[in-house]
Amino acid sequence: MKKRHFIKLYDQCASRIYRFIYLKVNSPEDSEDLTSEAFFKFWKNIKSNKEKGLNNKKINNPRALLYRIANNLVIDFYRKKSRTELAMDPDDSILTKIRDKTDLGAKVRIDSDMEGVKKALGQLKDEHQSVIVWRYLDELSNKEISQILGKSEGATRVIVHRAMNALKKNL
Amino acid sequence: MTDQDLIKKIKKLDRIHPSRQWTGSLRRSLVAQIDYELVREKGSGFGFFGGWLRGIQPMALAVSLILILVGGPWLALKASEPSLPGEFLYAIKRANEDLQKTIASNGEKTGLAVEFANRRLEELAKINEDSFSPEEKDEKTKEAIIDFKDSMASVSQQIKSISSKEEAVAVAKKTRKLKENLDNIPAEIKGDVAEAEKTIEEINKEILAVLVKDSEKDGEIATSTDVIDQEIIIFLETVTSTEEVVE
Repeated sequence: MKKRHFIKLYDQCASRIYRFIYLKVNSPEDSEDLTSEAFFKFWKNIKSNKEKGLNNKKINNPRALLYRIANNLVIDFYRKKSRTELAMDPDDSILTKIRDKTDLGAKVRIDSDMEGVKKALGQLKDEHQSVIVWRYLDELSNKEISQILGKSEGATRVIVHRAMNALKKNL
Repeated sequence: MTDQDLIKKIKKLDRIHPSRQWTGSLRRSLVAQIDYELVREKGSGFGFFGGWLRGIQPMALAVSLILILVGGPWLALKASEPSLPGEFLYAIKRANEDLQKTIASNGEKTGLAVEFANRRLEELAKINEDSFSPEEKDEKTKEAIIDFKDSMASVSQQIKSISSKEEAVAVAKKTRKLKENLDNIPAEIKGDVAEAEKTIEEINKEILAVLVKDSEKDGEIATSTDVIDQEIIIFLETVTSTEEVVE
């Protein structure tokens, strides 16, 4: 992958990767750190493939690889820190933090639907959270999600279906 | 609840996004890192000469450290001034600008944002003049345009913080330069920076509003226009009519 292709990927995916991580770690600072790390790791991954003489082996889906790296970083993040420390606090609204730390600022009036779906999403198991964000927020295809998860397309479709049902129950 | 209703609710989460300043800063870091690696790779491809270069690397590092210690950050900042997007020193230049923005007072922030937008336009002109490869030129231009748009967005956000006549005049002078630079921008990228004209108009409206308010407060319109550069007033009025501001 050439530099300009990588930068193009960054322009297309930086906000999405940040949001995907944010919805899992619930902290703007940690989301920024992990997003940076995801992109640096992605570039290193490409470079190490090149050094190993695998530059002819084209990455089928760079976006899927990027999400996989981000997902693994979130898993590592939770391994390092205790879950209780980072657990979702329904009263300590994520949106208050967003308002303080991002461009969202005063421009966006926080609506209860968003608060509700965020809370419900936070109660899902990790894999279900991820597939809902990928499928319906970032609009990845089932095929792309299957590449991230390392599962078949059929199995992915079932996971997405179950995740949606679980989210409906939580709402 | 139908799937469609649920999807609509999920999509509301797309309001979560990082700050533009942060995405811009990470983009620059990534570009600097890649460029650094590319330069190293090129260096290692020069055979004997490359090996000789590697031999003097520790010495070069020592000399650089001494220079930094003796010259201080000033030297690094000076050296970074003419740098262009994608160059190693460019990250230092932008880090310095971010620092200036952080420590500036609210009133000074707008002026600084306009000044930095001006720098991006000057960089665009320089990229166009320099003999870069088409690919390199395209990449640098794209980066400078993104940064220029970020600077203009920051101007729009901070425009209301102009409160005194002195601040208004200082910003007006920088805006006039910005307008001149914008008029001289290469034709092929004019479309990409077209929105800036609208922001300049907004800045001028705000400046005129501050000046009108200030002169009404003093009851001495003549005195204020004595102090303010007449050319600035003419410039402001060509873009915005005073009647519009007073209304």
